[in-house]
Amino acid sequence: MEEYDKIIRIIKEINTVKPSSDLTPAIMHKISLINERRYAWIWREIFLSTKGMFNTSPTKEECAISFISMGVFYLIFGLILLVFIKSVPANSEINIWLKLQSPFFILIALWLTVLGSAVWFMGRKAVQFARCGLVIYILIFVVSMVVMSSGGNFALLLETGLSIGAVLTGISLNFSVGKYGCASKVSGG
Amino acid sequence: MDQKNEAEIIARVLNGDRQSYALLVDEYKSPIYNLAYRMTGNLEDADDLTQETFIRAYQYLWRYDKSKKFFTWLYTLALNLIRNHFKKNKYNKSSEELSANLLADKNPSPETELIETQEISVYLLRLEDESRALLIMKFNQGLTFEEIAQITGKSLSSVKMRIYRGLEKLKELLKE
Repeated sequence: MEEYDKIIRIIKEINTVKPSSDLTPAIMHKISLINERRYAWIWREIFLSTKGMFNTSPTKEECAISFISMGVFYLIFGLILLVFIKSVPANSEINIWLKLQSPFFILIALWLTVLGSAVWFMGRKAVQFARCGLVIYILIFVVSMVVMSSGGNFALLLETGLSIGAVLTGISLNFSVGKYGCASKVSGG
Repeated sequence: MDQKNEAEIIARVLNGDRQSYALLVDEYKSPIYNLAYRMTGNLEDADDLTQETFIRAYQYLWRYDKSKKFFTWLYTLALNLIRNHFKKNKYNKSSEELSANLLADKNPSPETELIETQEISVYLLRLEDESRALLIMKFNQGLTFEEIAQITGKSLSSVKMRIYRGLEKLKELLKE
C-alpha cells in the first residue's frame, strides 16, 4: 500500500463540503408533509412480528410439534370424513375414492406423527429420515392426484387442492427441519 | 452520538415523535452530503440526494435492524439512491464540467496541495461509481473496512480488493 500513500493522503485531505444551513429544515418540512398511508401500521406490525421468524432456527421440539400439529390436522380431517361419508354408497369410482380418503388421511396423520416423534426423540439423527419421510408424504398426494384424475372433475379438483396443500406444507416442514438440522450441526447439538 | 442515544431517538421517532428525527439529520447530514457530492460532483444533486436519503430513511425506519449501526444503514440507502440517480440521469458530464464544479469548493487546501487535491477529485469522478464510493468512504470519510462491507453487503476481502483496484486505477489516471 506504500506506493499509494500519496494518493491516500490527498484523498484524505479533500475538503469537506458543508451542507447548506437550511438542509435540516427542508428535510423536516418534507417529512411533516408525509401522510402515513392508512393501515400502513398493519404492514409494519406484520413485518416486525415476522422479521425474526426466518432468521432464527427452530428447536427440535418446535420442529416436532409442527409435524405433529400437521398430523393432528389430518387426523381430524380423516375422522370427519369417517363420520360423515359413512352413508355414501360404494357404487361409483368417486364414492369409492371418497370412502378411501378417511383411512388415507388417518395414515398420513400417523406418518407425520412418527416423523415428528423421531425428530423429538432422536434430534439431529432423525433429520434425514424426516426429510425423506416428507418426500414420501408429498409423493403420496401427487400419486393420489394422478390416480384420481379418472374420477371426474370433482375428484380431480379436490385432490389437486389437497396435493397443493400437501406440497406447500411438506416444503415448509422440510424448510423447518432443514434449518433445525443446520443449526444443530453448528451448535453440535 | 452514541449507539444507545441513537436507539432512543429512533424509538421516539417510531413512536410518532417526528421532531426527534431532526437530531439524526443533524448528526449525519454532513457525511451523507459529502458522499453524494463526491459521487456526483454537483452540489445541487448532493443536496437533493441527501434530502431523499433522509426522507427514505424516515419512511422505512421501522425496517431498520437495531442490532446494526444506524449510519451503515443510512449509507446503504444513500448509495442505492445515488446509484439510481446515475441510472436515471445517465451521467455523461465532461471532466471539465465536473472539475469546474469541484474547483468551486469552499475552504481550499494550502496552495501547494490545491492542484493535486483538485486533480484527484476530478480523477475520482472518472472512476467507476463503485470504486469511487469505496475510496471516498474509506479514505475521505474514514470508515473501516468492516463498516464498508456492511454498507455494501460485500465480503471484507472483496471490499479490500476493490479498494486496492480503485487505487491502482487512480494511479494510472494520474500518470496519463
